[in-house]
Amino acid sequence: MIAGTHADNEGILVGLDAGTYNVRKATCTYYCITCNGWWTALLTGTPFTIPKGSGTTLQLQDQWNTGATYSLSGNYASNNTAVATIGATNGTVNGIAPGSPNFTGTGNDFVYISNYCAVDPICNSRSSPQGSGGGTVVSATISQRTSSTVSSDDAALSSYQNAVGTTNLGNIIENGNVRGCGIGLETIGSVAPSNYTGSVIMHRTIVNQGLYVNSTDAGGETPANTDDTSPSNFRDDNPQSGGSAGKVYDLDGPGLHPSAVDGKTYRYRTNFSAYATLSDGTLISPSPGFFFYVRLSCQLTGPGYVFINDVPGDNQIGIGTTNTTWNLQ
Amino acid sequence: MFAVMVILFLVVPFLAVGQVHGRYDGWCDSLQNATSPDLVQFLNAVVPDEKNARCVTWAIHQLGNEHHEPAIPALVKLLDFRIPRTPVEEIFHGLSEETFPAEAALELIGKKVLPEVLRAIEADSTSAIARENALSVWMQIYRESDEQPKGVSLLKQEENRVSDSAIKQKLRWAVQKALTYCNPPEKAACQEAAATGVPDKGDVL
Repeated sequence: MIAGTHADNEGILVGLDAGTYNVRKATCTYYCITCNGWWTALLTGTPFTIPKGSGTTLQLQDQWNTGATYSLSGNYASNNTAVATIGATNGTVNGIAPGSPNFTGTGNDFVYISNYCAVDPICNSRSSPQGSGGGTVVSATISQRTSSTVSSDDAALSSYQNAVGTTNLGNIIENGNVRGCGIGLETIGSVAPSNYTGSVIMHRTIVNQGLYVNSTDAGGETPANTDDTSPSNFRDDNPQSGGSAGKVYDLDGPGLHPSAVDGKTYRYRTNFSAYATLSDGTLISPSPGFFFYVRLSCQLTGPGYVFINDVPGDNQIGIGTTNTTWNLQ
Repeated sequence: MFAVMVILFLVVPFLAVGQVHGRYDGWCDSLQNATSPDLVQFLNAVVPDEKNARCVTWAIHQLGNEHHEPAIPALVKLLDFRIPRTPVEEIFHGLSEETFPAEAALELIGKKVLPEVLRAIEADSTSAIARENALSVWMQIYRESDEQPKGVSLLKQEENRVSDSAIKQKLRWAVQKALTYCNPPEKAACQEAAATGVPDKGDVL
């Protein structure tokens, strides 16, 4: 390989014809060289999705005509500091509020010149590569519906209806593929920004539980803090499906399904926590979660399943927590 | 004792996020360190029974979470495998608790399972429950992309395409059953797809 002292691509004298050699012509003419340097710039780490209150780091990089990529020191800026700030010199992003901010990073590096001609060409021109990119700061607020019917934009509606035989929420006698007493609930994640298109998954955890036959512990309680997230057919993870404009859902119906007419009352007391994550498990709803409880008592009688109301305050769902004893005392 | 209970009651909720135990944690210590190919091999060889049911469940769940595509045939074969439940669990359970873990695992893997799922719908050897579950997976995967009518139309096209009368009959059942998976806003489009099987913008299997 032959390389010049000024650049990779430099005019060199490779031969001499026979005759008189003109020294002046050989030393004073223009040379043309290629100056290697940057030709594109980008911000690595974009596009990103981060929860409100968390952060990520962006890095200005440029790519040279040679194919090499370099990380540069730079000055970073956000176009919307109310949504996300960025460290001026370190690229550290902090998500302040839901939204879709854009960022720029500006550095300094040698310029790529494909054909630079001069008497004594030297590659020392510099310019300011600028990379740009955006991201989304996302959050979800959790609420719950326990009356009326399943939301029509909830894509899990048909699974619920097939299971319990109705689209009603709240206290229901389940009469579909599942038979028993249940309390239908729709947990809703309202995602911000509302035009967010990524998947958001509603999770549910059993915080603690008491299960009884009459007043006796039935045993078999789910261990504390066990994941109870619904399978995907009872969830709507797409914030845009059905025109819901930022809503994701989880449907469930904690219930009792006695199999015999035995005169016994079966009792269910459970505290749940609900939270929302991105598909990679990143939490985007307030921690430690949205707490709710379900308590019900049920018996299978000759005519069918009935709620038993011998304990005051039984057979209801509510926000917060419940005592998990049989009599709620 | 009461004081301890009060403390637990106050503290436990605040552990809820970040220290959540998986539903199947501890169900199969013997496969804890198995690789995904090992788990597939296990599922291919196993005949599910009471003794191994928890390990089968655990392996299915694991392969679904890992979106392990080579597991698809094994998972399809286990579409009628039920999660073992104690008598207490049979009485006290949520509506949406998984009954057939292979359904959930296949749904997690996504669209690549569709050809094998369709074969299960058509096969004579598929049990009635497995066929229903295969159809559920089929429609669930199309639901996730907001394409329930497409799911129906592709089944109808397949019904029109096949010549074997036994397979045709199974697909006719599948088309009708698939309509029950369509949400109200898409019912009309699903019914049209079931009637005509008209491809939607070049849909192909």
